[in-house]
Amino acid sequence: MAVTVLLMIGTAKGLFLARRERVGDAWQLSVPHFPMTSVYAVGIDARGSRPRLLAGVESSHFGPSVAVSDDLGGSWREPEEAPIAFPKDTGESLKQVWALQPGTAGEPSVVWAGTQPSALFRSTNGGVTFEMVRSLWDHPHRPEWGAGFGGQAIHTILPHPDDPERVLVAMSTGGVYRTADGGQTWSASNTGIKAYFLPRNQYPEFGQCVHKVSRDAVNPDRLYLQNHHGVYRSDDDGQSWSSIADGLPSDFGFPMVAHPRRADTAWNFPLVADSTRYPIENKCQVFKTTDAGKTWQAHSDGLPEAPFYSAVLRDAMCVDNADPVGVYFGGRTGEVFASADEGESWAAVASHLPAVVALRATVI
Amino acid sequence: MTVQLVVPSALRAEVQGASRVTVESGGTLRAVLDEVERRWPRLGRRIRDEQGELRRYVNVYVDGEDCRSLAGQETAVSDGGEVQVIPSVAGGSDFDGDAILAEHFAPWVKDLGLTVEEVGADFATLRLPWSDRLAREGGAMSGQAMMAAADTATVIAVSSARGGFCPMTTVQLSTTFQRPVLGKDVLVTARLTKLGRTLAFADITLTSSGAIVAHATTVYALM
Repeated sequence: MAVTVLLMIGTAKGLFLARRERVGDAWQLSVPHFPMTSVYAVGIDARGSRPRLLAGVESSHFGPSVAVSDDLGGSWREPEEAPIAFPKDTGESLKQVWALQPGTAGEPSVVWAGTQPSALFRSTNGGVTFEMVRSLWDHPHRPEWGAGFGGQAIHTILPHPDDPERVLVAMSTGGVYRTADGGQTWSASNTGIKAYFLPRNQYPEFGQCVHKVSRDAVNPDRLYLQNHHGVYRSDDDGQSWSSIADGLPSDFGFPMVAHPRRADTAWNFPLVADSTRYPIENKCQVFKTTDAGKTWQAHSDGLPEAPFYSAVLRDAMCVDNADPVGVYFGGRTGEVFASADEGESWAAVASHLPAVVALRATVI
Repeated sequence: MTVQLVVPSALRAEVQGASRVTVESGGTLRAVLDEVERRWPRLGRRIRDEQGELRRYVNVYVDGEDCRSLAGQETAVSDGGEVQVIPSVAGGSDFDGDAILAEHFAPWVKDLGLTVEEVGADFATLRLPWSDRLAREGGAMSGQAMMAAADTATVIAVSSARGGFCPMTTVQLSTTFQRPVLGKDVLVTARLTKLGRTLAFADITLTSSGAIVAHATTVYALM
């Protein structure tokens, strides 16, 4: 049966679109869209009658912007006014878009954006133009938020599917913040997450270097978190966190992706350590849990057997909405792999691309 | 007043493919760019960010002179003048010279306030901003500051050529001072004349308002 999947591959030098009609077919790869720009954030809004593709595009000369396509990448449009702009009084200007996150089913025209410098933006026209969420920008902690190696940015935005008042964001560095009143107020929510790089109090209220958070599909109050050393789970919508790193060979890594339908299932790609950003034993392998992080299994069937030194960045792993679920990841050395059986076995989608920074996939 | 805006090929889609357009404005570069932004908002925001600052890797020339070596956006643009937008050659790379400046130099060198204007495969241009603290007796900029800037520019040029910072040390630096600098920034361009395995040779030109104020040559040992 034909189940056509579209995979957006954001790279350091343009956006590639890959398509595959049947499991086992070769992937058809497009020429680069937005060539020679960094496409650091991609999004697929599958809530409408046809998917809308979103791309956060950054030209090192001409700055950042957001473009949308309603014809699966056939054409892109960008409004006259800047899609995302910092208000004049902030004195800041947009460096890069790090996250483009469609809202919940209950808010079909809402799309969220996370930016560098760390700010949250909200669109009510499907991601064409955005407005800054002032309440988070005005948070008293903001002057103390730091920058990770990649910059200071909000990279994760998780609206709660059952409660439009609740949204969780995560940033490097700063940690997790939540609102439970529709964005009027925000609170740091890092209880239990370690900041090992601090000299004294390693469990501060905020300042953690959280890399990625993903929400369980069945129990939305359950979250999985990959930290800058540390892998955690929350069962109370991020109010407290406990370690689920024991079953992994390392607690360092960037991505964390939960299953879109099944409970307690998630994937990540551990690296040895902050100081040694190679995969475990220099082996290309994905780790999967099906018991909410109690145990993790390594999967490398179909992945390269030669020593593998590439890292998988925080948004360079994703799932689609097929059944069984397709899982995807890409490396900084330009390879992309796909699994059509929920991460058990893998095949190459593309290789020799520019550094892969962001992936999103959907059935079309 | 009208001026001609020369549009780089990468941005011509915003002006229906034209390589130059007439802008009915003038007086200052800022006024010209304000009018560009009003008429072609997407073009405008590719030249300046939302705070109105020129994007770091976009160079704007007024009648053939880089506005950054003139008065920035306050540079006068006369009737019939030409404003040319040129993407900097540094923009395509991930190389971050300012990060190297922030990480690898002694505090007193950082206090000079040097910034990277442009880097290329074999050169780097740094700006040494004028400060009264750098003036010696008589009010001109001290030669020590310019020598330190020349030395530092070479580190950035070598790092750019090698794709990132590497440890190195100055073996020789010879400087001739040709004109005094009074109250103005100095642009320091270090150009590598040879990059070997263990030694790098550079020729450094220091200019202020377009005139050469000092010239230096240096040899670096790469470690």
